[in-house]
Amino acid sequence: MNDFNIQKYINNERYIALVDCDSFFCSCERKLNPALKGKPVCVVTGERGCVVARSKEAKAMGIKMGEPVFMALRDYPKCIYVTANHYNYLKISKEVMSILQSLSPQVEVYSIDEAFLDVTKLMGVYKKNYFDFAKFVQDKILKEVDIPVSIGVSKSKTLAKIASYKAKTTKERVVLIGKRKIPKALKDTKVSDVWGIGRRLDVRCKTLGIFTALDFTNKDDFFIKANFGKNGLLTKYELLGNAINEVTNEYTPPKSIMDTQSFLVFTTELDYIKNELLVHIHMACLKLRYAECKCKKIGVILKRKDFLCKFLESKLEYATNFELDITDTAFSLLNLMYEKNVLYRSVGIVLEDICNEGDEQLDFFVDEKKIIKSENLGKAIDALEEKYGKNVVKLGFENKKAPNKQGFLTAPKGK
Amino acid sequence: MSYINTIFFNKKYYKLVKMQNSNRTVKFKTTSILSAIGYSAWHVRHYNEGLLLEIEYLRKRYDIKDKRYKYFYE
Repeated sequence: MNDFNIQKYINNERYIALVDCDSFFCSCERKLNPALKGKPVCVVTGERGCVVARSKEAKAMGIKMGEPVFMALRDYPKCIYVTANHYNYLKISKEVMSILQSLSPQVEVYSIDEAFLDVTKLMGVYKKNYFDFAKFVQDKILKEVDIPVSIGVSKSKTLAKIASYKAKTTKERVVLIGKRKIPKALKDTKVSDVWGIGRRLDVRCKTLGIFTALDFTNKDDFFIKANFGKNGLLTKYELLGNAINEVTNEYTPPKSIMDTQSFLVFTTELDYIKNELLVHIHMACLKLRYAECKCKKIGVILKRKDFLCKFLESKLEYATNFELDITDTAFSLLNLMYEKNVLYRSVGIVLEDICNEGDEQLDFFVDEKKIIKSENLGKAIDALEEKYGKNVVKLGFENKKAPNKQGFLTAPKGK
Repeated sequence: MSYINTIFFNKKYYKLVKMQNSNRTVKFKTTSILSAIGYSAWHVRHYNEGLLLEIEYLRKRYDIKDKRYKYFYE
């Protein structure tokens, strides 16, 4: 117990802002198609997908997040359902983040629509208080990118998250939780709404008699550490207004990358499944190279018609981000799981054990020239795809009779 | 990605799609969002079922075979 000293993490002099775009995908569609403003809009993943973003009007209609498209179309026909276009969203997200980066030297891009800003010493620069500065950022983003944002400012990341959550319900969409307001804010917040407390910890909190964030902070350190571990203790101090998790500009690689999609029709053919798997391997490797990372472990998911899911994973010989180095291992995993005369609905690939390029553990017995060659080949594929469009280079497949679906990731479009 | 820079956001094509089981039918195609919304509202009034709105943007891409740039909706 004594080896962990919380005092060295504590930093009282910070003010952190969380900028969160309001129903980001819907706002992007409204920016690109202004006629959708004021109408109930939902963004869906595809024609057989689910609802991934809802506008304020759609939320009021009662549409739930993650609802299948066919159910939403049947139950709430008056809403406008737009299919997602993630390239556009990524571009708009970059515009928003570049504005934030021009305003503060310390910006942590947390997700496609969220970023933490360290605003501690910016008040002197802009000659505004924290609330006015947040309003200034909000107006600037709305004016330049036409995306509404809500901003929560407080003394730590966890409190900024709570402030941002509260800001969504206010008219000004900016909430500042200063030192004096912290106890009231904690009293009004359910423990399940605290950043870092998920479903399982929420159940544990309730069994221990903790219902609000204030109850959580009132418990002593020994109790918190015994029941919630070191991270629980850090969360408690964050809730008390100590900035333990600092805002960093450093890029952290993703923990895993997954790519999967249902087949157009249920199938028993191994070659068809292999072809599909190749498409997913290519897409996952593309994401991996874009993030400048390499993976050392892969997993293959095979789902049967009756939703019975099989998953096998294997370590690779060396860390890679090139398709052909992964394909053989993925096919051998697929062969182990595949059964004849069984209908399958989907296949997918998961890339795990991801590290930054250059940080990977080298193997003494692996041919270095081969690794460099595959790296260069991967970069060449990316360059070709950037210049000439997606799927201009496809992975080869030995069985030419197998139906080749590569490049057609969605159902064939009607004329 | 430089690929995204070839999109012309001001030129769009709207498709209203009806999905029934795995059959996909394009019910209406237009270049005006207002007429797409109008048709969608009319469809809801008559059939009491919603339609999926697909938006295609004009893109510019280099064709290797013809050795010239081509424009198309995607």
